[in-house]
Amino acid sequence: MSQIVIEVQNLYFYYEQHLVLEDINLKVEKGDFLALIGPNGGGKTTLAKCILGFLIPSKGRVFLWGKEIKNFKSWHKIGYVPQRAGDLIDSLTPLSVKEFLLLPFKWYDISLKPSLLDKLIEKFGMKNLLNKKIGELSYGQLQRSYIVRALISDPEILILDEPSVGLDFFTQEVFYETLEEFHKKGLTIILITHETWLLTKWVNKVACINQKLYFHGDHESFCVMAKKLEFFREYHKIEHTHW
Amino acid sequence: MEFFLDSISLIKWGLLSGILLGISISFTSPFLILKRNALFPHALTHIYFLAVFLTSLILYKLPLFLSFPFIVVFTLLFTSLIWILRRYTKFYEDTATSIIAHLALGLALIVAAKTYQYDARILSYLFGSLIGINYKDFCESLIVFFFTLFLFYRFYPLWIAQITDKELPGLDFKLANFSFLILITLQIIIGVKLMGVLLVSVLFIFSTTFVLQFIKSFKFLIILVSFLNIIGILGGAVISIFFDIPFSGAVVIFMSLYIFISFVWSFLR
Repeated sequence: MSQIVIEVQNLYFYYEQHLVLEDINLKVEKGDFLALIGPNGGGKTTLAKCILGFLIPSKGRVFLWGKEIKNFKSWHKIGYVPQRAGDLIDSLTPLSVKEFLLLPFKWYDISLKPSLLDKLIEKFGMKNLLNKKIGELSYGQLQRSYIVRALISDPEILILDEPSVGLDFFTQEVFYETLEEFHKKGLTIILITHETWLLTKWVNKVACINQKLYFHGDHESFCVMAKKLEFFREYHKIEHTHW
Repeated sequence: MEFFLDSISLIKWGLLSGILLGISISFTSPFLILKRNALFPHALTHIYFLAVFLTSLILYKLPLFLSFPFIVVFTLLFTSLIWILRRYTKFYEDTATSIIAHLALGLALIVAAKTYQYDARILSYLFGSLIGINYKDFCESLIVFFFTLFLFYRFYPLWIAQITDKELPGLDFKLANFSFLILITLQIIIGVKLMGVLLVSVLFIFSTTFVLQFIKSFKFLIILVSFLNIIGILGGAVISIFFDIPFSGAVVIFMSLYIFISFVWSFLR
C-alpha cells in the first residue's frame, strides 16, 4: 500500500464571511501526479496554501507525512512554485541567477548536492544564465528558475500553482516532460492548472474543486465521469467555464 | 588648513558616528528599497519626532539616559498604527504610512507648542547637527552598529527571501520583520541627531538606489553602499566646513551626485 504523504481532513476555509472551501477530504499518495483543477475562484490555490501552512484552515486538519501541519518541521521536503512567480523580481533585484537558485540553502538546514544542481541546470537549460542578473531573465526563464529552485533541495513533494501560464507550447512540452522524469523517480507532484490537455497526457490523478471536492481519482475515471452531462452540470456552477 | 583641522577635532564624534551609521544603514536600506518601501524611514522620522516630544513631556524630571528606551517604545507603538490601519481599513501600505506620518507630525507640533518646547531645539531636530554629536552619541552609534551586524547575521536569509517571494513553506517572517522594524527605528534615532528629521532618509535611499542600478550580486551591494555612504558623509562634512553650510544639506548635495551619475548611466545605456 502506498504511503499517504498529504492528508486533508474535513477542511473548511472562510475568507472573511465568504466560504471558500467546504468539507474537503483529500489524500495524496507518494508518487501521485495530481492535477488540481476547477474554475477561477474555486479554491484551488487556497487549498494549496492550507497544505503549505500559509493559511490556517477555519476548521479541519492537514497532515504531512502523518504529522499535523503545526508540528511539521521538514519543510525542505516540499518544493513550491507560486502563482505568478517572479512578480516581485525586476531589473533592480541584486541577485545573480546562481545566488537565486541557492537561496533554499540559506532558508533550510540542508546541504547542497552538487550533482543534483548540475543535473537540474543542465535539464532546464540554465547553464548560460547562471551569472546573469535574475531580473534580466525572460518570463519563461524566470519560471524555469523558480522550478529549479523548488527542486534543488531534492524535495519529495512539488506543488506548482499554474506554472506554465505564459510559456509557449514548446516550452510547456519540455517543462512537463522534465516534470514527468522526476515523477517517475518518485517525486509526488500537485499541479494546479487550467490546462485540461495535461490531464490525459501527464497526470495520473485528478481532483476537481469548486468550493467542494467534486471528484478525486485516477484520470481514466475522471474522463468517464466527465463524459456524463450530469457531472458537468454539477461541477459547473459557473456556466461560462470552457469544459 | 589649520581652520580645517580645528573643525575636524570639533566634529570628530559626529564623523565617527556618521561613518558607523552609514555602514549600519547599508545593511537595511537595500531591503527597504527592494520592497518598494523607500518612504518608510521618512515616515518613521515623523513618528520619532512625536516620540521625542512625548518622552520629554513625561521624563522632564528624570535623567536623560532614560529617554532612549522611551523614545524607541513610543516610536514602535506609533509605527504599529500603520500596520493596524492597513489591516483593518485595507488601505495601501504607502497610504497608511502617509496618514500616520502626517498625524504624528501634526501631533508633535501641537505637543511642542503646548509644552513650551517650540524653540531652537526644533531646528536641531529638523536638520540635525554634526557638532552636536558627542561621545555618548558615538557610543550609541557603536551599539546600533553591532546590533545591526547581529540582526543581519540572524535574519538575512528571511529578509532576502521577501525580495523574491511573498510566501515560502515553513518560513515565518513575523520575527524577522519585527526585528527589521526595530533596527530601522534605532538607525533613525541615531541618524536624526546627525542629519535631522527631514533629511536622514537620504542615507537610506541615495547610495543604495545608485548601486542597485548596476550591481549584479548581493555580495557586493552592502560593501559598495557602505563605501558610498561613508564618502557621502565625509564629502558632506568637507563641503559643510569649506562653504559654511549646514551639514545635512551638504550631504544631500554631495549624494545627489550619485543620482546624477545614475541618470547619466541610464541615459548612456
